[in-house]
Formats: sequence, C-alpha cells, structure tokens
Amino acid sequence: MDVIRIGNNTKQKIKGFLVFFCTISIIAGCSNSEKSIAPIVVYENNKAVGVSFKGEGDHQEFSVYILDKKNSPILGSFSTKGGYIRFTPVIPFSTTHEFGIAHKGKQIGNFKVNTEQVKKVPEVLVIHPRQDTVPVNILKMYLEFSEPMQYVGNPLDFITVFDKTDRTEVEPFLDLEAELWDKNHTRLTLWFDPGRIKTNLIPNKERGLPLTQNHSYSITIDKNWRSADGIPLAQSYSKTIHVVGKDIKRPNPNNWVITPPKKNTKSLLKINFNELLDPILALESIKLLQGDIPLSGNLELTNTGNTLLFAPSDYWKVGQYSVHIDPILEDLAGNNLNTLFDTDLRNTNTGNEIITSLEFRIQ
Amino acid sequence: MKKLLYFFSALTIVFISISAGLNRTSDTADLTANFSVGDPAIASINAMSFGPEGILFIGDSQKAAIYALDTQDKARKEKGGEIRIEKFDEKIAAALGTTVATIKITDMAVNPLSKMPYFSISTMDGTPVLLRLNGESLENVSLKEVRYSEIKIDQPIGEDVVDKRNRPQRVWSISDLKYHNGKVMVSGLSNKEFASTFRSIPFPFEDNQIAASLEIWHAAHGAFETHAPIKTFDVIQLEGVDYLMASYTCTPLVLFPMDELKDGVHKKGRTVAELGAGNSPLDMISYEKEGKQYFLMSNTNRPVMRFDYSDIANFKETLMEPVEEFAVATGVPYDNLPFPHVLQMDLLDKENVVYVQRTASGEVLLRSRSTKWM
Repeated sequence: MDVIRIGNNTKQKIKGFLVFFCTISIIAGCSNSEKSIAPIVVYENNKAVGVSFKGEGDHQEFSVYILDKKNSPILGSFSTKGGYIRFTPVIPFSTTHEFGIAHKGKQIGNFKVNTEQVKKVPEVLVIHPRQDTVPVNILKMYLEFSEPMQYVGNPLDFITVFDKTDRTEVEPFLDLEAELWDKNHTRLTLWFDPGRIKTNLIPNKERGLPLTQNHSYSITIDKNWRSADGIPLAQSYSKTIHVVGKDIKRPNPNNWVITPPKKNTKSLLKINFNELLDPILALESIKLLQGDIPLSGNLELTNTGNTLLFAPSDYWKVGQYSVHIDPILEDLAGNNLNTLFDTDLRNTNTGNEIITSLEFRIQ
Repeated sequence: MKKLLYFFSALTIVFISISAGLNRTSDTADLTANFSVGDPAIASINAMSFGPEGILFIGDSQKAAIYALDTQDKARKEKGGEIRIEKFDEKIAAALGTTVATIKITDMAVNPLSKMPYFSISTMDGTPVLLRLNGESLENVSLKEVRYSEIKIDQPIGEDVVDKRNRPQRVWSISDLKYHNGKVMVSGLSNKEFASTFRSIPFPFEDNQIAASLEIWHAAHGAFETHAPIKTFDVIQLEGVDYLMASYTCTPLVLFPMDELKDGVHKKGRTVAELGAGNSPLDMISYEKEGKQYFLMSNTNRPVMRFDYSDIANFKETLMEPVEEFAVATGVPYDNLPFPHVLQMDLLDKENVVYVQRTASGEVLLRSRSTKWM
C-alpha cells in the first residue's frame, strides 16, 4: 500500500498509520477502488445518462448494478475511449440508489447520482379548471405538475374528493387502470364518470350524476405523490369547487367577443368566450389566420379561464383576419361545436348552425 | 438400388425443405420489403402484438402511430418451456437500475416463433423500453437501430400544437392491437375527446394509406348513444365466420362480423354478454383444448373468465335491456377461473399460457400454465 512508503522515522508512527489506514480501507474499501477506477457520472439535460471509469478489456467482464443487487446487472451498452469505459444504461440512473461496478464479478467501484444535478421538488401548478364554479355535468379535470410524476397504479389513490355539503367522501372520478398522462408525465387527465353523466346509462340510473347541484366539494391531492425522481410533493394541494346547474348548450362562437389590438403594435388580441371552455382543447382548437396563412404567436388562457390571449410574433398589420375554430372544441361538460355530450337522439332539432370561423379587422 | 432410392428420396426431402425455406424467406422479404433501417424514435409503447415472421407491431400513443419491427427473432421452437419468476416487477426494475414505482409493464406479447415473451415497459424518464425474456434472463431489445415501417393512425388537428412550455398536448391512448389475416387492428381511447376509434390497417403499410375507421357503440342504452372505448378485443371464428369480439369498460362483450367492418361504415355490434359493472377487461386470448375452442379474458376487478366458443355461437340473442342489479352478469355463460389480478396474458405455445399476476401477497409473478388447467 502507498501508506507504507510515507515515512519510516519511527516504527510506532508507521504502525499507527497502518492501523489507521487499514481501518479506513476496510470501512471504505469501495472508496479506495472508486479512486482507482474513478467513476464519473455523465449528465445530459439534467439526467444521469451514463458512467465512465478507468479500465480496459472485454466489456462482457464488466457489470453495473444497484449496489445490493449484484446478481442483476443493469441493461445497457459499453464502449471504450481513451482508457475509459463508458456504460450507458437503457434508462438514466435514478437518484434513489447507489450503484456498483464489477469486473469479473468483483466490485471495483461504486457511484451515486449527484442529486443537486437532477432533483427538484414537484409541485401542483394548476388544477384545471381554474375557476371554482363548475356545471354539475363537468366531464374532465386536469392536474398539472411541475415535474414528471411517477406511475402510481391508480391516481385516484392520491386524490380525495369530499362533499362539504353532505360532509362525506365521494368518488366522482372514473376509475381507469390507464393513467392518462401527457407525453412529459406532467399533466394528468381525470374523467368524471361519463357513464354517470349520460342520461339513462346503467351507471347513471344506479348512482346518478357524479356531482350534486348546489353542493361544494374539496379535491385534495395527497403530498405522498412522488415525482419520477422519487421526491414527494412539496405539500398537499386542495381546491374547492361549487356545483351549479347543467351545461346543456354547445359552445357558440357567435357569443364570443373579439377585441382587436391596434395596428403596428404587438399588443394582445383578446377573445372572450363568455363561457368556460376546456382549457387544454381551447389552446389546441383555435388558430389565427390572415387569409389562409396561420399567424405565428403564442396562445394563452387567462386565469379566469374564459378569455384567450394571442401574442403575435410580428406587428399587427392593417387587414382582415379570422379566428378558425376546430369543431372538437369542448366546454367543461364535453359539449363540442357539433354535439352535446349527452344527446337524446329522438330529438332531431340540431340547434344553431355551427360556426367555425370568426372575422375581425385591424384598422 | 435401394440405397440409391433412399438417396434420391432424401435429396428430394432436402430440396423441398430448402424450397420451403426459400419461400418463407421470400414471403418475409415481401412483408418487410418497404422496411427501413434506423431509429424510428418510438415515444411510447402502449400495446404490442406479433404478426408473422417475428414482426412485432407496436402501438405508440404519443405519436399516434403503429410500428412494425423486424425483431430478427425467427428461430422456431415448439415449446415455450416452464416459466416461473417471482417478484418479476422487481427483476425488471433492477435490470433498469430503478424501483418498481417508476416503471409500468404496459403490455406483453409472446413471439409465436421463438416463444419468447416480450415486455414493453414505460418509465418515468419517458424512455420506452422493450425487453424480452430469454430463459431466466431479461434482454434489452434496441429500439434505436432496427428494421421497421410505420403508419400514422391519426392525424389530429393541432398535432403540432404545443403549449407555452413547449409540450405537445395530445395523447391517444391505444388500448389494444392485434394482427389478423394481413391487417393490424387497433382500438383506442383519447385523453381529450371521449369518442373512441377502431381501425383496421392493411399490412404491409403503404404510403398515404387511408385506414378504415369504425365507430362502435354500446348496446342497452335505449335512445341514448355513447361511443364507448373498446378496451380489448380478439378475432374469433364461429361457424366459419370471423368475428371481432370486443369488450369494454363496465363490461359488455360485443360481436361484429369481420366482413362488415369496412372503411367508413358505422356498425352497431351485437351485445352477447354483460359481465358486470365496476370492471374493465384487460386481455383476451383464444386456445384449443380437447378439440374445443375457448377464449380467456382477464379483468381488473374479476378473475380470468373462460368462454366456450360454442356457447357464444349458440347465443343468438342481442342484449338490449339494462342490467338492473349492480355487478350482475347476463348473457353468454362463462366460468370464473381461480386466477384473479392477472395483469398481462398471452399464449406461450399451443398448450400453455403465460401471465403476469399480482398475487394475494402483493407480489408480481410471471408464470406459465398448461391450458389443461385453464
């Protein structure tokens, strides 16, 4: 060992050093070997995407594993460059484990992911709809998180709905084994049980509407819900909703009020719906056009949820513009421009003509 | 002379075998002729099913696309061998260097040639993972450098729309996918519009192909329509006719004659069983035992159900009346098998089924079982 060469002034000192360093070596054997192969965790986009360590030879003789699971090597690929071996796991290393590196089955090093580089405490950013007054036949809610969240098996295990009027816990959401996350795992869609909303379906007959008119409910998100990195929510989150009558009208763009901005400015265009629309679909279904050319810019809903703001990339020019509306656009009750969510097919009256385009002019 | 005859006979057999082999190769070449090599950039794997010659069909909800992957896994085996792996979810998590809470087995499909089970795993980091079980070992099946072809199943308006934090908005959750007679059939559920779709897409995929689309509705609703999403389905043959056998959340079983599923046709199915509320079907498989055809259906809140094909064929009624009592089942008779909480299920070989089950102790078990006992 290097220690033996440090000095030979007195045998006592050497003995002392030897005892001290041997003890340290035994306690932290891994640290010694870690030094020898110097594992370096490789980070990309806040993810631990690989580990490099000093070494050479047949890749098949090396394995990387969760420290207490030596017999279960992590799947991934090895490559060699400049005296270093790089291991790239199939998915990035998690922050919740310590990992070992073995050569011919013998541990030669260990490493952990630096949590500072990857971890963030998750928060609930918004519970949609933002408003606290909702129709009794509301169809969907969305939870937006600040970080990608874990699969939980059943999200409803982390969501409590309490009827404050009846002082009882209720289960208005559809129990789906699929967790309806968006691509980034930061937004979850929750359906109120559609079978209970549709008139005369069996669940509707048996259990009635999921919510009761004139009741108030608190919806609480449990703080034990964890992010993909295993970090629980910063706190529990709660929202109270007050339930009013049924929304049995299709969204009608004729009732929208467009406030055009001034020419030669980048001012916001305001579109007031005069009702609450599905906050996610509203952003997807509406496009601004000049002639056939889509305008580039950013769409955003106001906190009140009934007004859409469009910030153009370019200055407004004098001319005629249009707002194009996809008929899939829904209100909170799932009624779209074409049909009501709960339709009596015996009623042949289709109601108003469907408006899918509105004109406005910049002067 | 006798020796010479033997020699020529043997030569003929070898020749026929080689020809058959060549034919198979050329069939495969036809099926994969328009495949390209590279990274298909699969964003998620929600459902999988094997087609012919080791071609794996993958349903990608995030990209609203179906991929056909040439797995190159074509070594034929008659038997799948016995499988029994306890704490299977922990085994997968360890192989990925993570915990069970951050992964989800989204589907399982057995390659009918090699009898190897494939597992699609969804991970928190968003990387879809495809694993296969080779003996006792899990292997990573690369999704980066593969031979594949793809088809978009949906071209939603606003597909390119992102919110202010640059995240795409739409998820089209593919609930099931099967290959049958040159067609890939796909059912799905949207996280936005409740209306579901069912598509039948001819394979090999072609450019600018228009997929047949089909809307299906639930029986027993009187005058009130609902476009209920199909959760799982299979194709079964009754009295010489192919039927789509579909099951939905809450749990009706509905039959559609396959030859009536045509492009643009709005077809109403015949409900042959209501299998109880508060439940959702998960997987369906068909098998033969002692000369009789059966199919099995696994469920979220019911044990695996076994149906006799002949009972379905003999059931001529259409259920139209709502079931009045909660969770009561009516229609085609079936047997409840003593296997609750079966999460994934597929045929391992002619005589065995393989399934992933959450046991009473909460552990996840992967095991095979003879159809003799199913």
